[in-house]
Amino acid sequence: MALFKRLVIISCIILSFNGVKAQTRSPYTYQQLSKSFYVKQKDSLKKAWLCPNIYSNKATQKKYKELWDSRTDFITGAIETQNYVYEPELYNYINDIIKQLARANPKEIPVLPLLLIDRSSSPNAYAIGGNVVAVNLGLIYFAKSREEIALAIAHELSHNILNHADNAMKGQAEWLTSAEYKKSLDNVLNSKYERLTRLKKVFEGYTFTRSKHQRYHELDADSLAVILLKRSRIGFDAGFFMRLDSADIQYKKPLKKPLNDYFAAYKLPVEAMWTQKRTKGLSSRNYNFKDTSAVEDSLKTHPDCIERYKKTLALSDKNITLTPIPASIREKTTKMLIWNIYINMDLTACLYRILQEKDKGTTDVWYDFMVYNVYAGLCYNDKELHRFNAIGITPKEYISKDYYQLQNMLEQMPATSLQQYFTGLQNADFWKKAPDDEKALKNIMYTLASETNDSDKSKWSASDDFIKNNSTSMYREFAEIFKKK
Amino acid sequence: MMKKLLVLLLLPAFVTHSALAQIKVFKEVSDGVSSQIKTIRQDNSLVGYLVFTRLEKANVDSFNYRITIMDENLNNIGKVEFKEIGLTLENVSFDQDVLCLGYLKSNFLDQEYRSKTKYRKAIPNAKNSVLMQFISLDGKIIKANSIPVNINLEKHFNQAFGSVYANANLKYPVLVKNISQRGFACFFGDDSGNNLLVFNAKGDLLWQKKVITKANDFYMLTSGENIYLLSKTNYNVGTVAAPGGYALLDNEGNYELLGYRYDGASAETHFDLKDDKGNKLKVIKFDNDMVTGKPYLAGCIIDPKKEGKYASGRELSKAPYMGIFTINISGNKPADLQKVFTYWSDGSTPGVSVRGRFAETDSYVMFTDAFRDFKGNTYFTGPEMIRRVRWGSIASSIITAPLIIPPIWILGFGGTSKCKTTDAMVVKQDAKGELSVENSIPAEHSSYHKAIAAIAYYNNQSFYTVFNSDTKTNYLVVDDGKNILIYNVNTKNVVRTIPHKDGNIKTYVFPAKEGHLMVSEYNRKENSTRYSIEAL
Repeated sequence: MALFKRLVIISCIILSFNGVKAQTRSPYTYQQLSKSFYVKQKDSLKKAWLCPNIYSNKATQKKYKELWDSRTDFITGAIETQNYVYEPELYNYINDIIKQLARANPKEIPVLPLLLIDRSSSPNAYAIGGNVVAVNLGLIYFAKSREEIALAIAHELSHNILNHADNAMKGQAEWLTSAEYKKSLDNVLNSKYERLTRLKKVFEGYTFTRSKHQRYHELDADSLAVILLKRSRIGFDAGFFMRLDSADIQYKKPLKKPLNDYFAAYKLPVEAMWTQKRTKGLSSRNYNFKDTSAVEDSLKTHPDCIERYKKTLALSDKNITLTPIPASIREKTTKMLIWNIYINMDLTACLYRILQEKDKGTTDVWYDFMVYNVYAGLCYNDKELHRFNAIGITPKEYISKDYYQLQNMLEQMPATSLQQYFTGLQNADFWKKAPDDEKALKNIMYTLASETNDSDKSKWSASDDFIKNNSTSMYREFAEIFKKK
Repeated sequence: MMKKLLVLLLLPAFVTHSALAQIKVFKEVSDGVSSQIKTIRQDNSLVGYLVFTRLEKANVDSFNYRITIMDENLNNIGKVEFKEIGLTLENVSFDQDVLCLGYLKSNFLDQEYRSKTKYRKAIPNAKNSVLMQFISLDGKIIKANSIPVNINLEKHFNQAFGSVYANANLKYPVLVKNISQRGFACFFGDDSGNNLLVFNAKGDLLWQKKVITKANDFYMLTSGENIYLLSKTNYNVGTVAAPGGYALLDNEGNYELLGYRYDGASAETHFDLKDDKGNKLKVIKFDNDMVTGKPYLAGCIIDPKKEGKYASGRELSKAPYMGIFTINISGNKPADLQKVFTYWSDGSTPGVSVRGRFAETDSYVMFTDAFRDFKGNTYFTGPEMIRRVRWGSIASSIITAPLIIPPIWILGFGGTSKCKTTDAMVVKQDAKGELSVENSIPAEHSSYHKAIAAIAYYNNQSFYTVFNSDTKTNYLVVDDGKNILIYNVNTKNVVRTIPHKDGNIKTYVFPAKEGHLMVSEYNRKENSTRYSIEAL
């Protein structure tokens, strides 16, 4: 009997757990976005980050304060615009790395920095001084091991330790108020010809010097990072720098199947002509202008990855054992990243990432829910004459053939076919397993994308309804966009 | 380690730096920068965009320039920088992966002089020319040809704020069109005459000739191996009531069509642009058929007794036009014209009175645009105009009838009728000349105006067409001043209505790549403009 009772209790717990799980499966709540979550930290930063009075020259001090304040404005502005998120498991995972580095390096890291998880998909991390460090979701997504993330964090902490950000601000304040700079501006004004060229040279000269120092700072930060890692007994492999070279090729990676196969699963037909660019325009020609977007070597702020690799190769740990990133962290990071790309209305990138996850074998219906959201977004933007911007047309040289075809498809699908896709997904099977807030989001999407009943009042009403009944849902961020202002 | 945010932090500081010296430098340098934007066309299709920027004065008479090339999706694909004397970009075309740019080049027209004496003293050293520049898609200027031009500088100058500067230009600006898979045709007119030049895609001048005509306006079209010049000679035919008094009216006919072969092998061909009875034609469209690629003209047949009596509502209701026409041009010989005339002045068109009133809408139509569909039909479109009695005016004249002068005064200045533009009419002329009313598109009506007032001053409607050759669909874009209406010609319905003003947003549309529109949204609150290329 006692055993039976235990079994019943255990079953209830399991059932209730599943029930709780069914309510929402989003990785974080709306209140964990930075505007709500970091409101105290934001106010503290504003109060605590007072510009020190270090220059006797008033003009230099004034300029230094302007730069100082712009840094404060940047971070507080980013908090305000929901650039950061606090997801406990992810936050603690990253913070544990920082704690491990701090414990082993108490002199260099006497106080734990303020850690911010940036929602950006760019594989990046950054330090801006003031003992603040930010790690992008894109970096966590890109990393293959805990050790890679630790290297990035250690590098950024090194910048803070070495006061690079603060020294850069001082250097700039001093230069902008220097007699040499004023003289160079006067020379521009006094010259009758080629004023723009001369002005550019003034700034290029400064940028050249700054970039040169910047590259030294990067190498210094690399060196100190390795020391921090060694003391913390976290493995280091110089090969991590070579991987960085491939950090920006997410959309150059091909898909495993033809596009048709992905949409066949939803019973949505793809016309071949949608995926083929039928333009007579210059985008289809073989242009080959000299790529002036590439930064000249002298103006690069970072040394080439190969140089960083060579400089630190001797310090690599032999027989390093890499710690895989936990599956739950990966799953959450991927979903948070895809949702952030969606909320920024970059629909081709969002859909491509979803298809890449499907290539990895995921059967999580959350991705089907996001496919629905992409098509709802497309229908809405098509109605508003914003489809072009929502798709984000990228020149073919920066993307894979599959991305290019997907982009063409989203651009060239007739509006009637878009509506057909949207209607088809509206009644798909995956909704049966969808939690309440996802079903509620469907109502807003329907209001936005439907051709009837799309007045402002309907949008406000749908948005208010969602916010009232799902105030903590991650998807509230989307509803807030359509709230009555 | 990754791209540091610090660099981004430094950048705003450059831009927002408040030191007066820096602001002054930036302002003075930016004052010297100016840009022109042109569309790049090939075979009449838009293939990209080009921004021509004058960056700075390089020395006493030359400037540094930059050309930025964008594809049809507004993505930057490259830039070219060079130095030259004063340039004004007039036209751009594209063929065989080469851009052809036509400029007016001058060391004089951009200069300012302290006095009339100094201005006149500098004239003998003035060098004016047309520059034809050829740029490949790898950013190289493969050829630049300068053709000297004659511009009268003595008579045309202005004086303002202590400076004297030339107010002169080419008689007719530079036109550039590609000749498909062959090269480019260029036309311009200076004080010595009108010139037609043909280049190959490498920029070599193949031939050049004078176009002997006294015309005032020119339109150039290329089709296959042929080059066509449509010219119009203007002369005054009367006046029309306009705000502030009266406006001079030019004739609507007197078009001449000249044809040339790309290789210059045959002599110039003169095409007769009159109907079979010798009546003049008002051309409202000169374009290539998108199916055959061959040119056509479309427009109205002018009643010779009513020449000059077309501009006001009253005159429009008295049949200045006898009907409409389409002329298909299949080659370069005078016999290569296939003319289709549809008359209503003889009562032969059902549903249209002899005065041109369309029974279905009880209105007259001022046809202002025409286009072809994929089946060889020609469509004509324009605002409908209705004329109504001004009862107040008639009552006033009856009341004051015993006094002879006041009624004439009332009737002469006010008239007894009033007119307004209403909806947008679309009619179809098939290959046999049969006319049918396709639709009357609901549009914003103007207010009533005196019947003697020029329609042009209160008509808000403008039209252009977009087609999609994949779906074989034509769209008519009607701008009625309040809204932009996208009308699907095939399904005969308005598929989108875009308000010009929606809260803080002001929206305009412009031509873009085939089957698309460029949508520009200006946000008054944010003082920013967003562009997108949207499919219809």
